[in-house]
Amino acid sequence: MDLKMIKEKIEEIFSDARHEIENIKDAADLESWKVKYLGRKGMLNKVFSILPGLAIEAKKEAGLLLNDVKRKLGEIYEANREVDSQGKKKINLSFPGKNASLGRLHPISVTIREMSDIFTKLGFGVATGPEVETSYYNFEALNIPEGHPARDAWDTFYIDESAKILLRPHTSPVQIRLMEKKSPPLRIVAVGKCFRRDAVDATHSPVFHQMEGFMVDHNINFAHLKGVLTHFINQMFGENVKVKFTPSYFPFTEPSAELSMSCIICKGKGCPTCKNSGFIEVLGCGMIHPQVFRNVGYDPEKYSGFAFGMGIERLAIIKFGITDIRYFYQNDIKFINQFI
Amino acid sequence: MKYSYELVSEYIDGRIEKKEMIDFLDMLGLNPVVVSEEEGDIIWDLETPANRGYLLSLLGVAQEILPFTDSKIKLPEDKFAEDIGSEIAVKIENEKDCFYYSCRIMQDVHNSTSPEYMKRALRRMGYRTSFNTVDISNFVMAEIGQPLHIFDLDKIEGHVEIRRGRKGESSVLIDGKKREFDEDILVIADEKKVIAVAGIMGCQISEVRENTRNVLIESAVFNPVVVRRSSKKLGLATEASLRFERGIDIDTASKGMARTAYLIQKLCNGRAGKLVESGKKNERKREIELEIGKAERILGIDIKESVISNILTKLGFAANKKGKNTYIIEPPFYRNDIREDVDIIEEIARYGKYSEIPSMIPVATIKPTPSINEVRKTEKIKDIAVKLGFSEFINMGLTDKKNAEIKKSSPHVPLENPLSINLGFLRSSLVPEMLESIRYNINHGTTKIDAFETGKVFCMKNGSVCEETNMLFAVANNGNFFDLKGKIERFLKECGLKKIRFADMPFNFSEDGNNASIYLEDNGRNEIGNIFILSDRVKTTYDIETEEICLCELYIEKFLNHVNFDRQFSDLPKFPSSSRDFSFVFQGNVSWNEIENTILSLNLPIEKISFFDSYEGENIERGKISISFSVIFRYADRTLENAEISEFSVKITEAVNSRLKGRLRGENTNC
Repeated sequence: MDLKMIKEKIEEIFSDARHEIENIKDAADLESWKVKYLGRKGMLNKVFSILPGLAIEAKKEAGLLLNDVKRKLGEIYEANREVDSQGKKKINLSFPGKNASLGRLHPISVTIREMSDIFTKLGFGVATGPEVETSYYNFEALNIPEGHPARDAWDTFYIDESAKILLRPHTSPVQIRLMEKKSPPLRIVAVGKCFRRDAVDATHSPVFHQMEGFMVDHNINFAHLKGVLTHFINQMFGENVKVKFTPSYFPFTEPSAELSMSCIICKGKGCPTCKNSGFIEVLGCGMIHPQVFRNVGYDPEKYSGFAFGMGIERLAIIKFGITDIRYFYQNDIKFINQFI
Repeated sequence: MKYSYELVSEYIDGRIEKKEMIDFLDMLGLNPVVVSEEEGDIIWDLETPANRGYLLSLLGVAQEILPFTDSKIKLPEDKFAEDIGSEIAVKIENEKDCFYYSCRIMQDVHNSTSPEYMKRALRRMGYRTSFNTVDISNFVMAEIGQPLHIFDLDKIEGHVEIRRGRKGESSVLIDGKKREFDEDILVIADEKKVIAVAGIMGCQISEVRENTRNVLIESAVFNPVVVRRSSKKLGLATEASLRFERGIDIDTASKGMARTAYLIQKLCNGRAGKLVESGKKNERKREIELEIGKAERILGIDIKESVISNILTKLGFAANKKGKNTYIIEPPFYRNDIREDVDIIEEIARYGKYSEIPSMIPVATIKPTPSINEVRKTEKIKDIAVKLGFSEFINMGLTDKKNAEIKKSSPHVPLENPLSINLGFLRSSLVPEMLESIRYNINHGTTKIDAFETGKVFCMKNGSVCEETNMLFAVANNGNFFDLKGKIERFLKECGLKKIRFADMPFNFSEDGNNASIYLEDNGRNEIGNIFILSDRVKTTYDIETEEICLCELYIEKFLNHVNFDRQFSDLPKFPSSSRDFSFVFQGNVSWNEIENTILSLNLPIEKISFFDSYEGENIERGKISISFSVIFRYADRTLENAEISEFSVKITEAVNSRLKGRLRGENTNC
């Protein structure tokens, strides 16, 4: 064959291939088309095989043309591979999407936000206070005098015991600091880190977070305490959750109570989490002790109020079913990613 | 101590079922937990609140459940005869330490094993049994709540005194351990030696033994705070100290003395000497005015007077009406928890059952209490960090010495009574715990980390503890320094902080110099943080040497006042902008700030200058750097003309050339 014939042959193959591809219906047809024209024993390779018999110049020209056609058919093949019968690009939608990451708040913050939201809707403001406290704000002002055995309930870290400087074991001192600064009516929750000399295990941590809340006005009574906290528990854990108040003792409230809610794990039937009682202790509360009012210069005959305090980790543990308090301070991304 | 149904029932005149008794205690919030059942009896533990010491006795518990019942209290027998005239002299050094001290000699005591009922009772309550006198003192303490001590009279030399310990004094206590005393510890002594630590434990030297014939019974009221101090100082808490710390009254002390003498006389044939008393003779009567209306206001319920009088009578309170709506209430002496009217109101509520009080949402002024600024701003700040893709870490803030000392500039804060040396210090920086959290994640399969933490850091300043809130951003294996810097710039901008300056500064965590201090330009010297590439030395210390870690620590309190989330609408541009790209070759140490300031100082209608590339290497002279950026021009009130843009470009080129020795590499136009 001379160069002219070879060129015609190539043009013919090119033209046939282009016509043929118009009628292709599915991927199998497309593959046969590829084998026919571009395959190892395909039409173009057949032409390649006769090139060595040509003169140098002719070989070069035919070679260029062949390569050009081969590239074009390759492009056509690729284009058809991605295009469906309507001429739209075909995408395999079954493949997974690209990994997307999200910044997240720590579950302690998530829980605090949720709790604060419930209280702010009731008109409570959110406040904070120092983590390093004086014994006065932490104990004396809260009606826990020095030498009183009630202090044993707060196993406290001291920075300087003789100077009465300590790490707060509860957020209640914030209550005193705020009442000293503001006059009633007041509705405030205070949140923050607390420290107690509890060795680390699945249910104890020397560092934990607390939310303290109080409301002071004329004629605030125990029924209001029950109303507000029952509303809080039902918002936080669901309307079906039952709430129980039993007598308790805190030096800064009188009467004092402990709030238990029906166990959300066993729905009150009894399980290891609720020690088969059907109820879980959630928080301590009570009517603010008149001595506390006197300590901040409020007249207990004029004002009354309630206060409550609860552990954030404990609430999160109940709400999310977390099995070990240590997870909170390991900061494993795989843990943090579970909450929003 | 433990309690049992049968034992408590001994002191109740009337019948209460087992289940009822447990339910009553439960309703009172004393959380009875049944620990065992024995011969038809049940034995339980109680959570007794620190202000109700009287519940550490069978009589106290019996009295506590009476208001739920129609029963009455049954007091134990304590009538005995004083057979002999023997007595001993007693001296109280300071009546503030010991309010009341009574003692009585018993002679010709014959010890043997205790009767079966007493041994069984002691076992059920969790006490060891011994011989009569010892068993009797434990039994009476559990029965009445009065801790007693019984001395071997023949070991006492001269009179008995209650005084503070003296430096150098020491003695072996009944537990066999030698203890040293000082002026913080209240002791009982004779003329020669210490014979007991007041309210805590006796000394071996005067301990009664089975063959002891003559004893001295002590029944006293010590200052609860003094007993507590002695107990803490000695690290020794006993059944006696537990009760004294909670407060004992003279009435209970007298009952305890009488009951003990009665039992020793009955069971050991002892002959009773005279009662010797020292200190206050009587408790002051407490009268508390209770206005029914106040109880109703505090509890939010109507209260029937008959209910109140039933509760109070059953509890042994005297209630006398004064006027129409008011009572004068006199609680029994042992109820030292009853100090003012709210304490009585609590009793009314406890027995009226908390469940009977309705739940009501308060009617309050509609004006809410606003959250404090710091809280609102910090919440938003954290939200911005999250939006930028950082996840929040929370670390304890208690750390070890190595971590606490990482900030060399400020003295760290140790705890006086740490749980362990690993948690013995307050953190001085958020960095060490962050690095430990990063290492934890890497070891547990998460290698790319964008994290932040906000929290308190502490240092000593002029002898007192100073706490500040910091925020730390960390990027581990998830981009380079400029990825973090870009996020920090965006973060600060979103916080409404406009003029921010980054300046190279040597720094503790990054001694190889890859650190910039961040300044709030407002006053030029307000350093609000640091951004740095973690040095190899620190990485090695934290065992993360192969990780790429950049950090930015911000001192929130330094800029919180400047944080501004108020936004003002600015009209969108009505005329098109034009941009020109420039590439200049500079000396390698040129600062972007200089380039930017140079161009801005020309006062051209520049909307923005954006850096897009820097290049060192082939085609660029050694020690030089090519920097590319585009300048966006815009007039607010008209369209720019091409000629103007060319003119601006020439001005920029000239200025960069003359002031910064920047040589133009190429210039492209795209409008």
